[in-house]
Amino acid sequence: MRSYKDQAIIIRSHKLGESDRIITMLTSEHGLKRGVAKGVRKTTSKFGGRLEPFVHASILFHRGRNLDIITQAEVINPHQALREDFRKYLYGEALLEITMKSLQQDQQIPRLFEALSISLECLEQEVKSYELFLSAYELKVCGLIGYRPHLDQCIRCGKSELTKGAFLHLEGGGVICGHCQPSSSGGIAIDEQILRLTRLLLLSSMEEVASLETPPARARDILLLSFAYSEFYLEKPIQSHKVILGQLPPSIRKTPE
Amino acid sequence: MYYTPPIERLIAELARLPGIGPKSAQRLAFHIIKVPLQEAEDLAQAIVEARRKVQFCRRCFNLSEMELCEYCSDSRRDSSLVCVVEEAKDIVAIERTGEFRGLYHVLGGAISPIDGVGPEQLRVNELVSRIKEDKVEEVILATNPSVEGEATALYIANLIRSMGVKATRLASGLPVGGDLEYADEVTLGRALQGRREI
Ligand SMILES: [Zn+2]
Ligand SMILES: [Zn+2]
Repeated sequence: MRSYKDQAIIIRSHKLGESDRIITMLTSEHGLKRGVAKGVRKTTSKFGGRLEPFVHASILFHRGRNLDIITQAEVINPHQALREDFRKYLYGEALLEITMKSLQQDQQIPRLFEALSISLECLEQEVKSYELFLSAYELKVCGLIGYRPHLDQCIRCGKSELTKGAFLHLEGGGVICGHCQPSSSGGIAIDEQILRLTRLLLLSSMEEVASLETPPARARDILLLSFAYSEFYLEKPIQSHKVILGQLPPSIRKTPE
Repeated sequence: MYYTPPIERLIAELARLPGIGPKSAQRLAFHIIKVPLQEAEDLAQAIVEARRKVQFCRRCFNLSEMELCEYCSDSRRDSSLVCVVEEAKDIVAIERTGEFRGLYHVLGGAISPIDGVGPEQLRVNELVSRIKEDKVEEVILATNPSVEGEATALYIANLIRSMGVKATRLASGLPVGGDLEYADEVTLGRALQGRREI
């Protein structure tokens, strides 16, 4: 078959030649894809804003020799609210970047499309703590690619008593207790409340996460912990992390370790 | 590749330009070595001269041969009105309409977190200090009608509204000559929101 149809969420695009764009998107059936949209930069283009970031569209592809060609696009959900609120845009971009960097080209991971789609929809609604919302998404995506953080007991001795202070052990993929990890050896310290809330993020749906609240400084600490964890397992720097840290309210802004 | 070193070097230099891949670089390099020597020298000279003589206007960051660009040094223009654009080339498009008599401010791009571009990477602080110093009354946000351009306009509008300065946005929307029935939903939605009383 020369043509096929799939749903996609647009992640980003790059200029190609005079008037074309290469569109990077997460598709429902074909994983992370790049496709060419011809003439999309002309104001008379039939695509218009349909291939801009955040748009959830039904797309008709034509198989090309190199990249597939996008021949039609119909909007399913434009996620308009993410364009009308700067903070929603900022955190929405982070959701897109994390998703993109969790996959190789043409790689398909079950439930990732659904996770992104639902999360973008939740982000359009009221979100109590954007920091918790993004943290939850990042840790859940790490889980989907096989690196769900182990937070229930110490990854070394297996004890579930973590009240005496614990650390996030990146290589070990979870928390390590104060006895197994001498505090001098670094690692990100996690107190009991952070641990409890982070566990809750993993167990809750994104809709439930959107209604969770916590003091700003703790939300920031969980955000830093999630950033460290996701960058370690995605093995790539996440550009939007820097921008988000620069936009935190001044009272809780601090440079990550 | 097995080209003679001068061609190798030319290809490598061309391939560093934005939007030029190795194949295009090779094509351009072979074109250049076939043209008359004078033509190649003119090209080389134009590159060096532009790079040497052109600087950023210290007030608006437009490209200029002087410390102040032609608009900033024109006393007939209204300095209380500032039009914010992403790139210097956008100024040319606005000047072409002949409708605008204020000054400009070139941001140097749009906020795009996925590319690591936040407000700190753009000339936003420079805009804020300019608004304070030059008694600016209205800022027209003429960033692109893309997701990134819209977000940048939102960010700056929030910032300067708190300074008591009026922020306006170009009424973006349907391309002139376009048929309503062929307009896509996103553009049409935006046009409806940007509607003004007539
Ligand atoms: Zn232990
Ligand atoms: Zn100037």
